[in-house]
Amino acid sequence: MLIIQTLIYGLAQGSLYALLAAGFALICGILKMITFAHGEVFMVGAFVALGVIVGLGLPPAVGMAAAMAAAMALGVFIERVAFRPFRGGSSMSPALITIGFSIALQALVLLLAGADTKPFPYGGGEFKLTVGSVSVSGIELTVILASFILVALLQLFIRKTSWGLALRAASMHFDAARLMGVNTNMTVALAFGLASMLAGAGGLLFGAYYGAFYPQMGVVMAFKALAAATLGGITSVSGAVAGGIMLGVIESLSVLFISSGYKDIIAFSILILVLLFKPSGLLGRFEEEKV
Amino acid sequence: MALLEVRAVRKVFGGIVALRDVDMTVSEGEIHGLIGPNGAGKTTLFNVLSGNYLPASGQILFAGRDLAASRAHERVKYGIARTFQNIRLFKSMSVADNIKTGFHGMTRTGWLTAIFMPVRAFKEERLVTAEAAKLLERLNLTWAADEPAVNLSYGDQRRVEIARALAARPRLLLLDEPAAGLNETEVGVLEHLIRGIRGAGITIVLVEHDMRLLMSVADRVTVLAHGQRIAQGIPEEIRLNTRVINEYLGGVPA
Amino acid sequence: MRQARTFLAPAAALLICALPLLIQDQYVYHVMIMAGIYAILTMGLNLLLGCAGMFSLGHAAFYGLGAYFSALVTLRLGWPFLPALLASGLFTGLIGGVIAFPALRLKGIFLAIGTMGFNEIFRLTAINAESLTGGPAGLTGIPRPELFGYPIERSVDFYLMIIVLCALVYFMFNRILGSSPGRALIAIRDDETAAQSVGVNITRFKVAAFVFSSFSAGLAGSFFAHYMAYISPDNFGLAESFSILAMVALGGMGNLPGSVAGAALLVAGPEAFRFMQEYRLLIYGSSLILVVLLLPEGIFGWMRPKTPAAKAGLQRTAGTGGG
Repeated sequence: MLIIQTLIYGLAQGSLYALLAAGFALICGILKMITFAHGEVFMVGAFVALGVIVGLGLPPAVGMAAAMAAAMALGVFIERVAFRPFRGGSSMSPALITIGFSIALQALVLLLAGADTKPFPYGGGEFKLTVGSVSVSGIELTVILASFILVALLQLFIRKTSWGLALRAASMHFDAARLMGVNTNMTVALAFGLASMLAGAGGLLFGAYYGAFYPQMGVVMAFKALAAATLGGITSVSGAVAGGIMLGVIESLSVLFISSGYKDIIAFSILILVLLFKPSGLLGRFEEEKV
Repeated sequence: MALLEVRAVRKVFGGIVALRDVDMTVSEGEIHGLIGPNGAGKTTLFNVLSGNYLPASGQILFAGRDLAASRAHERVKYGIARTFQNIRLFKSMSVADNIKTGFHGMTRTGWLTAIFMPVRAFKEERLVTAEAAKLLERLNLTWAADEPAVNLSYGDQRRVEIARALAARPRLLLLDEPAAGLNETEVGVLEHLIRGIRGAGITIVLVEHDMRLLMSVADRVTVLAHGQRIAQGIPEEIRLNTRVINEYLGGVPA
Repeated sequence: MRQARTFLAPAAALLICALPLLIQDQYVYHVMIMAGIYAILTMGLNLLLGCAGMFSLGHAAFYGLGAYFSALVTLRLGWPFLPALLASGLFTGLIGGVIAFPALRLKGIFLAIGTMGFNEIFRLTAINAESLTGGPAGLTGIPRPELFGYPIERSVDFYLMIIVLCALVYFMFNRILGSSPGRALIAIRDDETAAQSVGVNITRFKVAAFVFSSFSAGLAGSFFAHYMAYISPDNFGLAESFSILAMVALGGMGNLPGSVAGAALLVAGPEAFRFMQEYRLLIYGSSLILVVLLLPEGIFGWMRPKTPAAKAGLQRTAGTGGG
């Protein structure tokens, strides 16, 4: 039964990765670039939610909405500053600017909120779903369900709305979509907005799950989510989500069978192997290199 | 004597045969035109000659040596240099530095030489600078030496690119649609330049859509269609060849 | 501008050498020594990122490799300082060359992701391989250097040493960039296909760029280890790689003197004004954003030497994958 328990931990952790990985895929799918500030969008969302829930005493659902709204605004702002001026040009400049955002946002939150780790006021202790020797806590269930719902809503949005159609068109062929009348500036901003909303929600869920909010909370998460997205296929949202779940499960299993110290080494080694041998990801579509 | 002999070269892209056992013979010192309708395989053959593509089968005999398996950067050493249809200059460099980079194959300064034998490296650098200046003067580009290459007019950029290829002292120069995007005056300058290069003893393979230019400078012409050679001969023969007229020249006043 | 440059370099050199006569404050020396270490790191990353256009984000790992290697051979094998310093550089350069071959398969952002992964693997391994690396606590008691029987203990001695080391590394990169290999690197950054067409062996040059870049990082790491006498995995994390990146961008991509100045400015700047201390990272981050947006050639764009290499700004650095 230990293995099922482990899988549940992995699923909870993996669904957090999936929320961030889906965002990487949305952005990378369209721009073929990545943002290095995604973890900080995640962290800012978490802190905004904490402020709303603890500071203003509002219910967690309002905190979640505030986290998503704040993260969206931040993400769209980052797109405007770091990506739009360099459209069609170098990918180095946006990368450098988003690294700048990552460093500066961490420092800013550190100055404003302090370096100490802040707890989450609602413990997950009260509720426990127990079947045999396997038990799922309320917070685990919340993380898994909320992530599942958010990813499902995103998929629905991408597949069923005209904006989603524009997103898909732009990710297949950016220039052709522009020539066909898709407002690409709007579409890129939309991708960043959606990606950031998921990140903001993920930030609150992460903070609640581990009962820990701190300025560097996004660093490792974002990097692992990036690894997960690369693992599943960084240009495909469903591939990235699958990659996130996979990474969570692989990690929890390696804790069980190997050692907790090596779980990150294993995760990053897989990342590098995938990059080298199947750069389109395990589930991503294959793009032939043009000469 | 044949400087370049292409024998039964085949190139396949994802199941589509782009070159179907193509033969071509280029004699030393001639200007050899390569024409054909779009999609005939001209560019593919060109890239096979320059080493940017490796052929699936066949031989590329250059001065008696089979180069079919050698990579692009090695062909420069053997004496094959090229230009690109969509001009590819080094964007961040000045015109003079672009030309100096063309001497790369000639230079012997490696990383360690540069560090541990700075005098030798310095002497070589001075030699390269002088040679580049000579080349610029020959092409009347001295005025542009310190300009960023991207600031030049299209025609001048084209000539810088040709100068960069000449810096490698090739025996065979591959020109990929050098007249594309040039105005009439510039084409005149280009024609003069091409004849001058041949005059210096360099063999030229010329892919060109400008039929007037091609037919006037080429000594012999190879015609490709559907990945196959359909004709090879002097321009007068090609102009009268019914197959060529049907396949290609028909639509274009020659 | 050019005249300013002619006078500036000797003037700066003179000032740097005369400093021991003027300054007694140990803390000032510490800051200057750290600036020197980062100058070496920044010059090395500049070769890879600024000149060859390879987006490596794992520079701190090579820095750490040099530091751990040097600490271990002196602590465990009792090597003297100078051989340890040189061997750290060579060892790290060798590892750089080995890493380069798989890294060459990755373009643009994928190279960035891969090298970040390498950096994390290095740091995590240093944390976990306790018997070798001392684990999270790191290695302590790394012996202070001894040069020809003369022990290096005072700050001013370390200061003079790092000046010499910096000058040697500067000379090395200056010679490379000032001759045909440097031109070939810029050519690769600008246009790989065109670089091949003039006979540049892309693979060989990229691997060499990796080797020389990591060689210099190894030297910096070794010096750091012996100067601090203590190293831990936290010294060599991703944040460190990002800081070095900010210094390269601040100095200007491909600009060698700019790299030195960028490192000096970002290390010493926040220290110069005490009130800026706690805003240090905020300054790093914001200066990175502002420099890329407003001064794509770096704040020292005018210091660009007239070597054949390195005449490009950041924005022209296309072809690094992505769009």
